[in-house]
Amino acid sequence: MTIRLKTTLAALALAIGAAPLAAQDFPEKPIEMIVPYGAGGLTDAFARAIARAAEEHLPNQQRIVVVNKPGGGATIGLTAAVNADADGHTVVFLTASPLVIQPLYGKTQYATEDFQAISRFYDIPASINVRADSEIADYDQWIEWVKTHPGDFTYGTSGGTGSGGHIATEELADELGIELRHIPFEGSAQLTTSLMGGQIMGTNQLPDVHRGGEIRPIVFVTPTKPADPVYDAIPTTRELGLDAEVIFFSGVVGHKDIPADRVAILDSAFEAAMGSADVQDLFVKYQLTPAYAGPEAFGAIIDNAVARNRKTMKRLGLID
Amino acid sequence: MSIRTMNLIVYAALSGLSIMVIRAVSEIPVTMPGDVGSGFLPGFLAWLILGFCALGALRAVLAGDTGKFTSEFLGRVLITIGVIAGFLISWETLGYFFVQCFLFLFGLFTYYRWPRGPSARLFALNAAVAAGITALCYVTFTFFVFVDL
Amino acid sequence: MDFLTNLDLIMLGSAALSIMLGLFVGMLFGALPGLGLIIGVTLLLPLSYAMSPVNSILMLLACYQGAEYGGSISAIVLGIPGTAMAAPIVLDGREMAKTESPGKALAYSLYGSTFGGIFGGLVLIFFAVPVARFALKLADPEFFLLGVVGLLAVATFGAKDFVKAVISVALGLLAGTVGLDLFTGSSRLTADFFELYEGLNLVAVAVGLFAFSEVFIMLSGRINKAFTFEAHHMKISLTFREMLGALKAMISGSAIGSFMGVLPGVGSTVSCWLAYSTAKATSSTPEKFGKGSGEGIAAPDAANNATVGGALLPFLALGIPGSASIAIIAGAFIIAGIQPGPQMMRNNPELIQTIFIGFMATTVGMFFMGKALTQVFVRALVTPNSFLVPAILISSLIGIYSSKGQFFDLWVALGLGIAAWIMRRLDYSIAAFVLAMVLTPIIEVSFRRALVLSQGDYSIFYTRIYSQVILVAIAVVLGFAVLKTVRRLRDARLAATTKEAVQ
Repeated sequence: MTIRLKTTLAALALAIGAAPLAAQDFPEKPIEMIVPYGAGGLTDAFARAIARAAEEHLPNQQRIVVVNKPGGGATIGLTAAVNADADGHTVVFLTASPLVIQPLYGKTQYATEDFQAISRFYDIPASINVRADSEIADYDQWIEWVKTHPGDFTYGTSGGTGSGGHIATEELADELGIELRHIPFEGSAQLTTSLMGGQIMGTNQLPDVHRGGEIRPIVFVTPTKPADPVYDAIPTTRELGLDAEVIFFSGVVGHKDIPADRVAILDSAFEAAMGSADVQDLFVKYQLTPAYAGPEAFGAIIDNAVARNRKTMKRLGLID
Repeated sequence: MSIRTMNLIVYAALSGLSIMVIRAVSEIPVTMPGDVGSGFLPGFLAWLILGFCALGALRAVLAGDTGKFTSEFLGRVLITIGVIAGFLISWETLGYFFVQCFLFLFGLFTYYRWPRGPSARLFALNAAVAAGITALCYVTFTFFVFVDL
Repeated sequence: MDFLTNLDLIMLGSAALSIMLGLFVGMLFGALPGLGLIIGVTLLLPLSYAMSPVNSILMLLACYQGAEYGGSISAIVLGIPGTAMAAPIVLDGREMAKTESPGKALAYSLYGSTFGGIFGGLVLIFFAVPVARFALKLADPEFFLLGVVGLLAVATFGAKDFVKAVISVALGLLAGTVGLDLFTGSSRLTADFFELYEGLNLVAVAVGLFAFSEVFIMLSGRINKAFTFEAHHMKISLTFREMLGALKAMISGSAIGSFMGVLPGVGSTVSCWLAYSTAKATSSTPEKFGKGSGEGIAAPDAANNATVGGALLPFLALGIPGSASIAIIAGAFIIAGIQPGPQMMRNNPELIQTIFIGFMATTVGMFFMGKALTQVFVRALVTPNSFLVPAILISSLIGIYSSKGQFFDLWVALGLGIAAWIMRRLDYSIAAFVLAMVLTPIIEVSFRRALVLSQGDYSIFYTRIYSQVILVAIAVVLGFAVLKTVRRLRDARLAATTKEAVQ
C-alpha cells in the first residue's frame, strides 16, 4: 500500500470516529526521537530544537528524548525505528536520502513503505553552479554550452555516485537531452574547493553567494531557493516549466502501523513547534526554508521522490 | 609455542584474509569511464599481502627456531579479555551502564590487587576509586556531553 | 592599532577565562585515550551558546589546540596516544620517557606544540588569503602524490623487519578501503554490516591498536608497582641549547603542519607523520630517531598544532572548513551570526584581528597551562597499573561508544587490540597500519578521481606543474636517503678496515 493511500484511509477512519478511543492515553511515556546522524551537526541541532519545542504541545506533558543513532549512511537509525513498537512512542528525524534513495538498492532492512510520514519541516535548496568568473553566466548560456560540448561539462556532488545530487542532475540532463559528466566527491568542502580551483566545471549543491561565496548558481533543481534577494533572478526548474525536480526534505516519520490518531497528535505538536522562537531562530541563522507539510502532503512528496529516483537510478544502471 | 610457529600461524591467517578479500572484490564491475574500479586497490593489496606472507613464511622456515613465544601472566591477560567481552555483552543486553561500569571497575581492581592480600581496607579503597570514576563519567556524559550510555 | 584601545579589562578577563577553560577541557580529553577533540568540543558547545561570539570561538579554538597537545601527554607517559594525531609521538616520546626523563620528553612536546601553534598563527595572520588561493590550485593528482609521500614516511620508522613493515602498510591501506565506495555507490568489504558502510571507525581502530594492546602488555608485567619518577625528572623545561637543537625540526614540522592543514581532508593525522619523517631525513643525528630523539617529539607536535592555524585558514579566507574539527567550530561562527569567507575579510577586519590576536593568546596560554597542568595529568596517569588499567579500559570503551554509539565498534576495537597484542610482539608495526589507513582515502579517491577526470589518461599525474614539483621533491628525498645509506655503509666499512689495520 502506498503511503498516500494509507494516510487517506487513516484520516478517514479518524474522521468517522472509528479509532480515537485511546487518544487520551497517548503519549503515555516519553517519545523517543531517533536522529540517524552524529551529535553536533545542523540536522542534529534542528532536531533537538524542534523536539524541545514540540514537547510543550504534547498531551500528558510527555517529553521528547533525542537519541543519536548514526552510521551506515543514516540507515542504522531508520532500521532501529522500523524495529521499534508501532505505538507512536518512537519516531525518526531524517533527511531524504535514507528514506527515498537507500532502500531502492534493496540492501536495507526496511523499505520506504515501512514508514508513515508525520511532518516535514524544511527543504535544503540546491542548484547547478559554476565558478563566479566562468564564461557561463546564466541558464541559457549553460544550455548552449553543454549542447555544443556534449559530455564535456563535469559536475561534482558531495555524496558521490547514487547520491541525491547525482540523481537529480541526471534527471535534469535526461529531460533536457544533454550529456554531463559526474565526478563524485566526499563532503562539500572538497567539492567547493575543487570547483573554485577549476578542477571541475560545475557542482550540484547549496550555493553560498549569500555568504560571500564565489560560486554562481545557474538553475535551482529544487522548488525552493535560499531566502536571500541575491537569488531572485535565478530560475528554478519548475519556473522554467521543466518536470525534473528534487526535494531535499527534512522531517519526522514513524513506523507504518502507528495508529492514525496518534500520527495526528504527533503532527499537530510538530506543526505548533514550527512557530516557536528557537526553531524560527534556527531557520534564520542557517538560512533554511521552512516548509511545513502534514502526513498526507509529506507522504505524497515521499512517494513522488521514490518514483522519480527509481526511474533515474534504473536508467543509470544503479539498480535493476 | 615457538616464535617461528607463531609467525607461520599469523602468515596463514593473513593469507586466508587476503583470499577472502580477493574473492569479495573480484566481481565488482567498473562503472565509470576512466576509473580503475572499486575492487582494484583492495585486490592489489590482497595479492601484495599474499606475496609477502609467502616470502615471510619461507624466511621463517629457513631461519630455524629463534625462541619461545610466551607471555608472562598470560592467564591474567586472557581473563581480562574475557571480562571485557562479558562486560560488552551484558552492557549491550542489560543496559544500566553506570551500575555495570562500577562493577567492572571494582571487579578488575580487586582481581589485580588481590596479590597484596585481601583486607577490608583494600575493598574499601577499590570501591571508592571505582565509585569515583563512575560518578565522574556519569556527571560528564549525562549532563555535559549528552551521550546516552 | 586602534582596536587595542577598545579593549577593556572585563572583556580581556572573560576572554582569558574562556581560553583557559577551552585549553583545560582540550588537554584533559586529548590526554584520555579514546576521548578526543570532538567529545571535548561537544562538551563545550552548549556553553558557547551562552557566551559572546568571540569568547566562544576562542574557547573552541583553545580546546582544539589543547587537545592536539594533550594527546601527546599520554603518548609519552603511557605509550598510548590520547588521540590518533599523537601516534608518532609514541615512537620517540615513550623511549625518552623511559631512558632519559619523562619531563624532558614532555618539554620537547610542549615547546614543539607552542612553536607550531605560533607558527600556524603567523601563517594565518600574514598569508591567509594568498595561501588559501594557492591551495585551490592543487587538485587530485597532487593530493594523490602527497598521499604517496605520506606513505614513504613509513620507511623512516626504522622497521626491524621489512616484510612485516610492508604487510602492516598493506593491511592498513586495506582497512581504509572498507565501506561505501564513492565512485560506484556500492559497499565493499563490509560483509553486510551496516556499521561498516561509513568505513571502520578510526577512533575504534586507534584505541584498539594502541590502548588495548598496550593494556595487555602492561598486564603481562608487574602491575602493582607505580612508575616512580624523580621530582627533578618531571621538570617540564628545556635548556636553551636543547631548544636550539630541536629548532630545525620544529620549523620544518610547523611548515608541513600549517600547509597540510590548509588542504581539505588531509589534517593533522597525516601532517605529523610527514613532519616526523622529514625531521628524520634532515636531522644531523637520524640514528637517534626511535631511541628517544628530542627532534622526533618536537617535529610531529609542532606539526599537530600548526595544523590548527592551517585548517582555520581556508575557513576564514574562503569559508571552507578544512577539517572535521573546524567544521564543528564553524557551527559556533554560524550560531554567532558570523559568515566566514572573503566577505568577512573585507567587511569585518576588526573581528578577524580579534580572532587572530586571540588565537595567538591560546597558543601562549597553552604553554603556561601546559607547564602548570602537565605535572598534574602525569601524576594522575602514573598511578599503579592495577588502578590505571581498568580506568584506561573504561575511558577507551566510553570514548569509542560515544564517537558513534555503535556496539559494533567496541567489538572491532577489542578484536584489533588482541590481534595487535600478538602482532606487535612479532615486529609488525601498528603505527604504519594507522598511517596507511588514514592515507587510503587520500590516495585511492584522488587517484581514481584524477583518472575519471582525465578519462583514463595517466599523464595527468606528471603533466601538471604542481605534480612535477612534488615528483621532483619525492625524487630528491629518495636520492638523499640512498646517498646517506651508501655513505653510512662506506663509513662503516672504512671504520671496520681501519680497525683491522690497527689490530
